[in-house]
Amino acid sequence: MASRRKSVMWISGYVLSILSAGALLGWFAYFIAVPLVVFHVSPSHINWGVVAGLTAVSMIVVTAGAGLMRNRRLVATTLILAGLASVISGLKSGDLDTIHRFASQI
Amino acid sequence: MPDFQAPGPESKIQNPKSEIVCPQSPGLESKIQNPKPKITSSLTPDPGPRIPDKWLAFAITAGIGTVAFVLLVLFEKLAWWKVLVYAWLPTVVIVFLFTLFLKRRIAPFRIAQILSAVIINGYIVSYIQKEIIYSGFLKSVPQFILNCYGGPLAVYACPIGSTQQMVGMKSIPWLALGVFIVAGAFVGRAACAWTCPFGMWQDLLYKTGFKGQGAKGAKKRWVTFAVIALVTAVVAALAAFVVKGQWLKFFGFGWLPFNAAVLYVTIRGKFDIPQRLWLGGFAASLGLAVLVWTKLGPSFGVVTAAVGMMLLGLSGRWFAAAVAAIAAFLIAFFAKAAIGPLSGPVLGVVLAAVGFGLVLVLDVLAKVSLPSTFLKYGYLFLVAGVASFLTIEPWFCKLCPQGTLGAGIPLVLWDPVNALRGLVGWLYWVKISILLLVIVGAMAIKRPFCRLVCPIGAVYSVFNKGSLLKLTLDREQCKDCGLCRKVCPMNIEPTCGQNQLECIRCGECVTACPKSCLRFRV
Repeated sequence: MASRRKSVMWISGYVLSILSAGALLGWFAYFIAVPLVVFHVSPSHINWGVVAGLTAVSMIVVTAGAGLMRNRRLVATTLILAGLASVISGLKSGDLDTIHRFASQI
Repeated sequence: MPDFQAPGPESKIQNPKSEIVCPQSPGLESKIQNPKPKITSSLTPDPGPRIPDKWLAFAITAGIGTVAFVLLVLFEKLAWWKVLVYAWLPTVVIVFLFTLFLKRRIAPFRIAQILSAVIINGYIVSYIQKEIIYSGFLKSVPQFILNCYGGPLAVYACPIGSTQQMVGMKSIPWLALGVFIVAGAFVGRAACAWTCPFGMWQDLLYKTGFKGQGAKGAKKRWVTFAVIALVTAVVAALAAFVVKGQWLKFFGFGWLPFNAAVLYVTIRGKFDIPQRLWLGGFAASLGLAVLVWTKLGPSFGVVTAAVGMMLLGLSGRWFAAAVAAIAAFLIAFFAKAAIGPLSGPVLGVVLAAVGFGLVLVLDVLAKVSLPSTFLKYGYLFLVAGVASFLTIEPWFCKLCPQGTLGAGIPLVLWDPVNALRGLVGWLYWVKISILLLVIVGAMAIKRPFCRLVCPIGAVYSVFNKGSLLKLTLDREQCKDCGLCRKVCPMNIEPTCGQNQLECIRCGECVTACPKSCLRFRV
């Protein structure tokens, strides 16, 4: 039973990771590749904050998949990537200014 | 022969080698007593070379603190002699005096704690510049741990304060979340041990002399009580003198209840938090909070939720049921509430019965409880999350005892603009009461705020299971001597799980283990 449970969790984690990786590629295609290549949009017009935020969300889903596979290093690595994407999203979305406005008041 | 038996029919993980019984974290069981293993071995901790001498710690702290001050002052373009006289000298003297009272050897994480406290509260130059608080670039950068950005010494932004402000603006706090995720993914909850000044204060408070047993211990406790009563009387008198009068408030509502609580600790000695959180009491407090919110406003509602979750969730089920019933009746009666055709005392009786029944159904019939440490997830979600989202106010900040200690009290006493004292209202005294409660609690209980309330600890704790840094145990070598449990500042049993939600990765167990069974690995 234990090995069956383990294999079910491993397969679920594998499927979840594949799906979220696919979603990640989809985000990049929709928000970056298609606008740049097909519609010749200037990179400055791409909302990089949204791209980074969606990347963070996707990486967290990958983390869940890795967690189901009981792979600690993969979990930590994807979490760090998700965190960095989240930080980039925050920087691009003007979080520094917003936080500064609140933190500089009494 | 087993030297320890945990009472009750609850689910357990049985360590095959030893007789220590580990409690399962979440469960539906009715009771779990604190499974404190007896120390049966004569093994003694080997201090070893891993613990630096306290003067080495002083040198490192003063040295790196000096670099931090110089960088900060270069950034602010101030005269070096002002920094030397007003910032560097007082800081080094304070750290020196602190070092004098330390034991000969000091754990590495203590050095990091002191260093972190100095760096993130390093804006002593505010007194030179006559600025109330620092407002440079660094104030927009969230730090890793709890430290109020409203304090006159604070250099960085508090991550939970920033998160609440963004949540109140109905936007996703990407930057603060990223900081949480990156730090948590690398080292789990280590930031709580190595960098949190409020954790350091709680560790220090726990070292106050309430630990002794027997006649000698009792005498020591009474001496400690006398010293605390005297010192707090002087502090209260000074505070009353500074803010011109208010003697009754400072002594009647501050000194007296605080020392009554200290007296309780003096008589009882050190103890631990209840192991289980009763969901009946928890639900009753939230129901009361909703009732109070709709009838008396959000401010009273959030305070009811914050204080009630603690009191009713951790208290016994019959006490919780009685309090819920009485409070529901009083609120319905005095707030002149009406629900449909019901009003006045009739509604009061109905609500009291509902509150009483709810607690009994959840606690007695369904026997639903959670580990009490899960309370902090309630604070994270309900007080810092939902209440902030609905009212556009940072509600955790408004009640945070660290904020009171680091910002509320210093700003009101200093009051450089002669306006802050006029803003003191009922909520300020609620904050002071919560701070006093935490101070007394920390004298008797190991890190009560970190274990029960801190929302930042709640966020980091979920990363413990998957962080790069992990704690490992060599079961073959472990003799179950119990020393790791004894030295743990969070009162957990490292042999029952090396990456538990409550582990703050301080390394005390690693240092204390005489067989070096516990190790940090990546």
